[in-house]
Formats: sequence, C-alpha cells, structure tokens
Amino acid sequence: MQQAVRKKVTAPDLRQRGLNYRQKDALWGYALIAIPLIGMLFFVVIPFGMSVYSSFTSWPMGQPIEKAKMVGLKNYVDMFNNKLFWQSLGNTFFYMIGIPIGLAISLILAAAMNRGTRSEKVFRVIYYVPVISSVVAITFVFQQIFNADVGIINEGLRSIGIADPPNWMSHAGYTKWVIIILSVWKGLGSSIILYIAGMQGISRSYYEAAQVDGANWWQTFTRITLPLLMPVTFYLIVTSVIGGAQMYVEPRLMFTGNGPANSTFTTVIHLYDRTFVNSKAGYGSAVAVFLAVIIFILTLIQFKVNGKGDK
Amino acid sequence: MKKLLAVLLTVCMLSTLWAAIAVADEKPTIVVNTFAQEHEKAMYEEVIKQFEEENNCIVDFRVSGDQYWPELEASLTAGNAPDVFYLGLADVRKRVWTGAVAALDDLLDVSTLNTIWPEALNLYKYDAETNTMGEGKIYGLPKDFSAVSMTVNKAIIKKRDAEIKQAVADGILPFYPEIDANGNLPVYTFTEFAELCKILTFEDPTLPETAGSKQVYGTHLWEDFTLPPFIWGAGGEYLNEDATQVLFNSDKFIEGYEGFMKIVELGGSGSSTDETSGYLKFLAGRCAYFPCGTWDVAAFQAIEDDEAVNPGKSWFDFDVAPWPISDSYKDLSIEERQDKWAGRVDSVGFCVSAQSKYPELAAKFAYQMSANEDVQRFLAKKGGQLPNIVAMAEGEYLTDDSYFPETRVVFVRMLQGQNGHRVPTVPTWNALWYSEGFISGVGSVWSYYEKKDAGVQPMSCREYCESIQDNAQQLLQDSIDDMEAMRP
Repeated sequence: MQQAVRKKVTAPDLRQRGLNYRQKDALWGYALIAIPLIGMLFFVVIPFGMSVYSSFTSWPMGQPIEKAKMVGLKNYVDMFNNKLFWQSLGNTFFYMIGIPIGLAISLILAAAMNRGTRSEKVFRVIYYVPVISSVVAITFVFQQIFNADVGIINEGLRSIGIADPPNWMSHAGYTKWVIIILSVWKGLGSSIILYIAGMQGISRSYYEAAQVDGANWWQTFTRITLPLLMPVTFYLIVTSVIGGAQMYVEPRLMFTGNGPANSTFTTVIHLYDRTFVNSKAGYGSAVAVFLAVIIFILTLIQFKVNGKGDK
Repeated sequence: MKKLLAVLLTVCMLSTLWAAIAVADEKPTIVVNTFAQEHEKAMYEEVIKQFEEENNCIVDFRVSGDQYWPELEASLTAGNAPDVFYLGLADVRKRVWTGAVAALDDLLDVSTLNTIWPEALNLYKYDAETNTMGEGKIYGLPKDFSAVSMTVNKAIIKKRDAEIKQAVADGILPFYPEIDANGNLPVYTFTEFAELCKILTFEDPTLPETAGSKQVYGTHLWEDFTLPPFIWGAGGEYLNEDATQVLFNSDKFIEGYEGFMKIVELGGSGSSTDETSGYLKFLAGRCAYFPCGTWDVAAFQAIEDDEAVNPGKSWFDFDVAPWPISDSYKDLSIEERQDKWAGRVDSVGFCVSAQSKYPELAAKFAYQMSANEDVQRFLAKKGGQLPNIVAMAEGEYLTDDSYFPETRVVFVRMLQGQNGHRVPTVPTWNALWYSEGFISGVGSVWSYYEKKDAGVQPMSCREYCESIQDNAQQLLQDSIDDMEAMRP
C-alpha cells in the first residue's frame, strides 16, 4: 500500500529528471545527511584543520592566518618546556576528581527521587535550578559563601568553635576544592534527570523477580539498578571528562588572575591567555591540539573499558 | 490565474519600490564597540544620542564585557571589525602593521587636537617608516587619559583620629594623612604607610550590618595592579629604557617589592590577594586605602552621597591620595616628597577601522568623544573620566566644586607628568614576561611574608626576583623576536 502511494506521488518527478526510484531515494538521503555533514565540515573539520596547521606557525592573533610563518614544532617544544603548561594540565585533571563525586551524589539523589512520592517533582526542579542559572551569578554567590571573613561556611565553622577557619579563596590547597564543589553542585541537576530517566527505563519485572528471590534493597540496587544504568553512567563520564578538560569559566570568574599560586589555572585558561591576551595564536593552537588529543585518548580508553564491561 | 499573477506582480513591484525608498532614506550607520561599566554606558548613550541628532546618522553602540579584547581580535581576524573600536596602547604597532586602523590625519583636521593632553595624543602616534612610537601619524584619539591613585576612606581616618594623632606625636608618622595648609599631599614612606595601615586595622562596632563584618583593614594590595607604584616609588623600573631587559633582580625593584610586602606584613592588608574581596571590603567601609582609577570615582561618589545607606557619610567618605615612597626618603620634608611618588597613567583610544564604510563619520565620532569640550565637561562632571582637554583639567576641573572628588589635584598631577608613570607592559609586544614571568609565581612571596602555608615554597622578595629573572628575560626576548618576525 505504501509503495503504491509513493509511486503515485513520485512518478511525475521521476519522468522529468530521468531518475529511477532508488536513485531518487538515495538523492534525498544524501541531501539530508549533507546538511549536518556540511555543518560539521565548516564548524569542526576545517577549524580543526586550521588549528593543526596554525599550531606549526607563529600566527599572531589579529593577522590573517595565511600570513603566518611556519615554525615547525617550536610551539610544541615551547609548550612542553613550559612549567606553567604542566601546572595547568595538572590542575585540569585535579578538577576531574569532581566527576566521580558528582556521579555518586547524583545516583543517590536520583534513587531517592524515584520512589513515587509527591514531593519528587519539586526536588527535581530545585536540583535543576543551578543548571539553568547564570554561571556569573553562581560564581558571585560562591565567592560570598566561601569568603574568609563573612562567608557562611566560615561563620558556621566559627560557631562550632573553629577559631581560625580556612581561607578558602586565598590558599592554594583549598581553591581547587571550591571550584570542585561549585562544579559538582552545578552539574547535579542534569545528572539526576538522566539517572532518573534511566531508572524509569528499567523493567519492573527485574525488581519483581529479585523480590521473589528475597533480595534486599541494597542487593537490588547494586545487582540490577547500577548495572543497567551503566550506559547512562558511561555517557555522563564521557561528557564530564570532555567538559572537565575544557574547564574555564568557573575558575576565571571566581579568582583573580590564576588564583593563589596558580592553583586555579587550567589548560584552557593557558590557551586563552596565550592566544587572545598575548596574541600567540600559534602556541594557543598547539595547546588546543594537544588537549584534543588527550580528550580523544581518554574517550577511547573509556569506550574500551565500557566495551569490556559489556562483554 | 491571470488575476493571481497580476496581484503577485503588483506585490513584487510595491515591495521593490518600498525597499528602494527605504535604502534611499537610510541613514549612515557606524558600529561602535567599547567596554564600559554600567554608569559609564549610561553617560555615553546620552552623548551618542546628541551625536546622532547632529549628524543625522545611527550609532550602533555595543558594549562588551570582560570578553572585549578577544571578541575584537576575533572580529579583526575575520575582517569584520566595527567602525570605531578601542585601541590599546600596546596594540598600536600591531594594528598599523596589519592595516586594521586608519590614520586619522587623512580624515580629520588634526591641528585642532592641540587642546588635548599631548602626552596622551603621542601614545597613539606611530611612524611606521622609522618604527618610532610618539611620532608620525595619529591612529587613535584618547578616550581618556586615566590615572590610578590611592583612595582613602576618610570616615575610617576620622574614627582612628586619636590613634593617628598619637602616632604623629610619637614620631611614628611625620604628619596627619591629609593635604596640609600649603597644598602638600601626605606622601608617606613604605614603613610609615605600613604603620598607618596598622593603626587603621581594627574592629569597628559602628559599621552597619550590611558591611558583613566589623573588621576594618588598612589597605588591600595585589601585585598585578598595585605593585608598580611601589617599584616606581623606590626609584625602580620593570624594564630598561628601550624595553629590552627586565629589571626584576635590580636592587631598586626589590626594595619596592619589599616595601609593598612590608605593608602586608606589618598591618592592614587582608590576607586575600585577590582584587574582588578587597573591592567589596572598600565599598563596605572596611578598607581605608584602596587603589582608585579615574573611572571608579562615580561609583564611589554614589555611595558617599547615598544618605539612606551612608547617613552623614558615617562610614564612607572617599577622597584620593598619593602612593607611598621608598624608606630612603624618610628624612625628606613633606615638600621634598611631592615629586617622589608615582602612579600609573594609562589610556585607551578610539580608532577607526580601515574597512569602515564611513571613515569620516567614524573619525568625527572619535573626535567628538575625545576632544569636544561639552562632551568632556559632561563626562568629567559625571565622574566618568578626567577631562582630555588640558585647559579644562588644569582650570575648571580643579576650581569648580561641582567636580569631584575633593583632592582631584592628585589625578591632575599624575597626568601632568610629575607623578604619572606608564604601565610597564605598554612598550612590549606581549606581556608574557610580566604575566607568566613575574605575576604567576608571587604566591611564594605571600607565603613567606604571611608565614602561612599557601601550598607553594615560601620565598623572600629577593629570592623570588632572582629566581625568575632569567625566565622573564627569555620571555621578553621571545616577545621581541615575535615583533621582529611580524614587522613588515
């Protein structure tokens, strides 16, 4: 029936263009995939190619790239010899400590919010608010919260007898944790929503069978819920690692410069400062390419690990 | 069918005609892209409205935030620059070499620019033939000629009046922190200023609850913005004269840095090294001395005048003050100290894109904002900037009480050159020798002087300056090499 209808509609076009049904079908297929492919070509492939090319040049920002002079591997050598670059990379990876912490908290909260109670929706909205809030406003609020003199954290610590509470914003040992707490808190909402969606996609029959077998809550959670949520967890880990490697806004807004002892200096801040502030776009491109390679390798490892888990 | 075709044809013709009329009637539009604080933006909008009426044009005024410079770089790289944009002092050569900016000599009668500060105008002159700044064609007009002095909250001084007077009587301070009867500014040495800050660090129970805390500090300093006046006050420099050598390990530089840290050590400054918390403390009446840019005074004046939150200027009464000087000047009289202090003077200019469709109009706009007397008076009275016009700055700005703050002579002296000093990174191609070479490691010095573990190896000023010298010199050399490589 469908074929008949299609034939009826497409017959005049086929005659005019001289295309048969298969060719016409393929043409539409190519046309439709061409849209995202062209987009990808212009917004991903060509810019990435230009980044790779410019990483071998001394391209000063503000000048057309075709005028840039080739310098070979100089930018990469400079980058590897730069202690600040390694420090920024170390800080970037340190921030990723927040990923498992955030996932664990999200999972617990999602489980608590997936019990069919009335107040669940209210909590889901509350936890999602930070996701849609302005990061500028959030960082300002966190600056106040962690303020050494008047912040509520230190006020609280003083009220329980800690006379000299930490200077969260000025001590290199604490500043990274401030950023981690902020990032975890801001990201909870979206992880919780995905986990709840994942939990609701698990068939009730598994739980009923476990109940018949006498499994308790913990056994049900660890043997059924957790394994069946692996695709969601995998997705969250991959996207969080990619996002974490690109950490820029929170530390830049929260702290002056690179933070005390460069403790909030991330690789993307290094890239930005070199490229836009100091006009060394060639070096900045080398950092960008190196970061892309690291992200690619990390993602590949995660896919491999996840693949083994599936088997 | 024929009727339908006729209707379609008529619609097409009418729309074409309408479009043609619209184009014919279209006013010339120039895009102006700047950065500004909210109060500055409101001031400029008023001035721009007048410019649009006078020139029958549209000014598409865009204000960017923190991302101004990268956005500008991106638009210049993409060949899509605004008609008028800000030209940073360190960028003049680069913009000329890349053909991004138009020479204003070809668009304006530049002989009319002799009313504005010659020092400010020279900052935008460049002779491409001889690669000499300060000579040749004019590529920008100063939006302002700004100065950064100290600000003092006199309400705090008043509260510690007895203690300060006692310190003067005991010989700890040579004079009270106010302009004397002969008009001399209260210029302190590093140690004297540290002692003063120590006196001004106290708990103030009279502060309103909105202050957040009752703890008041003498000052709040951070290297990136407030160290240079200490280096200059000690007679030191960041770079040699032709900007080919960093001078971090020179004795005078180290002396200035030690003076800066002495204030941190002896009293006053909060333990936080960041700018934001100090700014908030100052605005809450909890910091006596804080750096003040000429662009800040409108915001400070608004708090001072707000009777509802600051009744009788009880906790905020600001004025401007000079920076401290080397301890080696401790035996000089107050008169002899007047020329020894220095603060940064800076500028950002309006320039015209070489790609502008309306370069004359864009240049006229730049001129209007930079050199028009009425505009300058309007902006200065609003506290947005100092007058660019010399006669106005040295005349009515000082004598007319409708301008503020009271001790604005401090700013004028800086622009006149007696106490002004250019920002150290201006003469270099990039600032990596400073940002990565110097600023990135200063946490070690804070650890040393505050005797607190900040997670980095504590180092004295001397140890730190000597440890970074070679790397900073290499970064400066790289910057020079980059410039030479790009030079046409």
